[in-house]
Amino acid sequence: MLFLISVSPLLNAQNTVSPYSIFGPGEIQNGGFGSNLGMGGAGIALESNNSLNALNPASFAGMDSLKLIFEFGLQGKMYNISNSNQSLSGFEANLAYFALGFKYTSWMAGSFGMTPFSSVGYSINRVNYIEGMNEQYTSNYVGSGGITRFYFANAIKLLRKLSIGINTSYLFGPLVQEEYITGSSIVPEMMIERKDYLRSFYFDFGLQYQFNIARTEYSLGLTYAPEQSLNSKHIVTAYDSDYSIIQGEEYNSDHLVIPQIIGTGIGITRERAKLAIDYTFQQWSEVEYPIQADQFANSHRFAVGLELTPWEHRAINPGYKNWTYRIGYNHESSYLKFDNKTLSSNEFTIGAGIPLYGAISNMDLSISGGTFGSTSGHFTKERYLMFNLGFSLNEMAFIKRVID
Amino acid sequence: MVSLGDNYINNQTNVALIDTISVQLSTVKIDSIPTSESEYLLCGSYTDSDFGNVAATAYAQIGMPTAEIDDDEIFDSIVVCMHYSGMSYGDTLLPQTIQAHRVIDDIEPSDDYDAEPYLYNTTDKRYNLLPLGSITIVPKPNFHDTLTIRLSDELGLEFLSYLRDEDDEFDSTTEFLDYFKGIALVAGNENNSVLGFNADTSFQIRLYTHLVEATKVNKTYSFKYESASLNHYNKVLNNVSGTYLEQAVTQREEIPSAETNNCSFLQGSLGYTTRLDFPGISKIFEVEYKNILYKAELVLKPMPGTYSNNQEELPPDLLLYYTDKKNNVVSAVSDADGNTLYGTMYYDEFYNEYTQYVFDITEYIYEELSDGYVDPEDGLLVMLPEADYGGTLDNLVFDGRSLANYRPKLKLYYVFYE
Repeated sequence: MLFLISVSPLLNAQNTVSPYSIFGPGEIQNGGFGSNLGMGGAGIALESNNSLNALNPASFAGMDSLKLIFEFGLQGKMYNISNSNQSLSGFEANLAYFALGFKYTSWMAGSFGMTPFSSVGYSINRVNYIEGMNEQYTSNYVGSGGITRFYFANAIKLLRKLSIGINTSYLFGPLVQEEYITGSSIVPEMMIERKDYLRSFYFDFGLQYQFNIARTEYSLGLTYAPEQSLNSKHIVTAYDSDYSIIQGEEYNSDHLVIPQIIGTGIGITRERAKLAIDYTFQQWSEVEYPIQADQFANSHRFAVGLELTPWEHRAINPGYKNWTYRIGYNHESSYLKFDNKTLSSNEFTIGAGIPLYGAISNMDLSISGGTFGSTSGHFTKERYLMFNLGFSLNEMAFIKRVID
Repeated sequence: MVSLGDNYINNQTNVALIDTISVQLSTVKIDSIPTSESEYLLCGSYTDSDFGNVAATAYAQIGMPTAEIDDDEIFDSIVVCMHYSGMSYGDTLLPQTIQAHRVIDDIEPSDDYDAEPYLYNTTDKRYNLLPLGSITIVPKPNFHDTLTIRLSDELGLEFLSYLRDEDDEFDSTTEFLDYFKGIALVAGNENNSVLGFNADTSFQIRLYTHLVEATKVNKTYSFKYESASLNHYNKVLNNVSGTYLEQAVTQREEIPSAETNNCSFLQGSLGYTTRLDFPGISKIFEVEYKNILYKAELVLKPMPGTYSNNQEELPPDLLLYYTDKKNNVVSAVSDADGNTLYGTMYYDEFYNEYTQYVFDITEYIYEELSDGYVDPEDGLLVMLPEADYGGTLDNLVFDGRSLANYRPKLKLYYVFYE
């Protein structure tokens, strides 16, 4: 646990600057490790072979036998956020995830690790009318923080072809909103701080099924997470203009709701090519947060990714011939819907997997370029380039122990 | 940061003005008002539609002159002089008779009042019914400085002879006051206004004499009022029969505005004050949302038509006193800094609608709410400043109607948040 606490600030350094992160738990991160990131985030149906696939807890059962896999990833993001009259650019970098995967037996495997679950960063001004008077005042909402997920997943192979997995996560971290009220002759200058210290379990489940038709391997994946309310310690504190506390309240809350999420995927592997297609559905229409002015919409996400190993692996090959190449695309019609306009995102990715220490370990590089939102009306549009650097380090640890 | 259109989010905080807690007005007549500390002498009578026939009698001691007198001085005349303070009530265009009488009781606070040595508006001191002098004038308090009333020569000759003989009566002020207890300025039968005079050394008896030497030498001896060492007070009474205020008899019993034509009254020397009650104030505790009550304002409006369109008819300074079940005047209400809280007057030159007094009673409301219980017997009294009310007939009629634009209001400013 001490380990968790010491590393979590690194993950929380993730600093979303999207105004859209004001809604709900913030911007939910799609997850996925190095190889998934190069394939447009697709991979619900793919097994964890030499590297871990966190998109589906059932995938861990597919880890190559008796291996210990350590994964970690770094992320850098160049972004530009603009609306019809403003623009903001920046760069941020942080440790994105780390995880350990291990096989208990030939039919059972597990993994634990830490990944960002959601992140928050916004500053929004809102002009309000004083009830009972024809006077205005301004609130500036500033949000920060994010939820970190510590997961522990276990998967078993039921039949040779069917794997199931259960992922138990502990979500923690602060979500902070500071509301600065601009003072006037009528309204006092004050600040209202709303904090949620998340400390909640979260569960999701997965299935994978593999079959062959001729020389083509097919796999099907399914993930499911029921709607879950997250427990948090909710602290509301009102400060006056001198930052002295006027009033405060602290209570346990479960107002943060993560909707039901269903993911499906198909994987097709033939010779040195692997294709993954995912569809994820999030039932946001059932979820309400007090700050949203409109209903959320259900979100739909399509992702497709292709992984190619063009040349057969040989020790004498020049380096690039032993690389794995990836390309991907995803489109999401998000849960944010305003004035009957649904905000959507598009992202293209390219990546490469570079073997380290022979074929045992990998370094995965990828670049994603994407957009989210729109500059029309009162919306903002985010454009970004994301650089991912992931490592999958494999050890024959279990074998050694057996020999001892 | 780039901001999102704010119409896509709901505000988490609401600032609201709530003025639905009713303010109940009633009139209290304070049993007695100390008038001996005021800076003014009031004399005259007039009839007011609200306060009935108001009659004021000023009482003042005078000191003795210090100058030496010559045996050969010859009496000329004796007068009492006073300076107009400038204030007047009633109709000053009509003739007014003022009589100066010799007081026969000591103008001293009664021994019964061991706590506060005051003389009150209700204090009665006898005076010689035969006036020393009188004058009938059409007063011009804002034009003339001084009013002079010729007194009887008899008094002048008496003073002169005592002075000349160095009699005991002029040995010391104490002995002089024992002999000449003071002057009462009494309204005569023909009266249509009350006039104010300064209660300072300008109030004096002047004895004029002359000495025949090579030429005639005129001499004057002044018997002055000294506020530091001598007493004065105003007796102020009214006859309310036939007016709404007929009901206000004892201090213990306040008269709700509903019984006095939906108004309430305030008047200086007669002791009328307006009591305020907030019968629904405990509703504040029933607010369900998280809230910060950051300001409370009390708004009182003068009844339109009870003052002519002239700001000067409205008392500029009003303050609030804590009061209890028996309408006792407890102590003045303070603001957050501990200073006495005064209302701010807004005068609407064009429409009466916005003429109002606004009191920031945030501190008072905080105090009332601090222990989680509001005593329904607690209330407030609206009064003139203590330094003023014993020497003024300034008055105000508050609007107690339930019309949205006129009613007295308790404005509570809230921040509601979630």
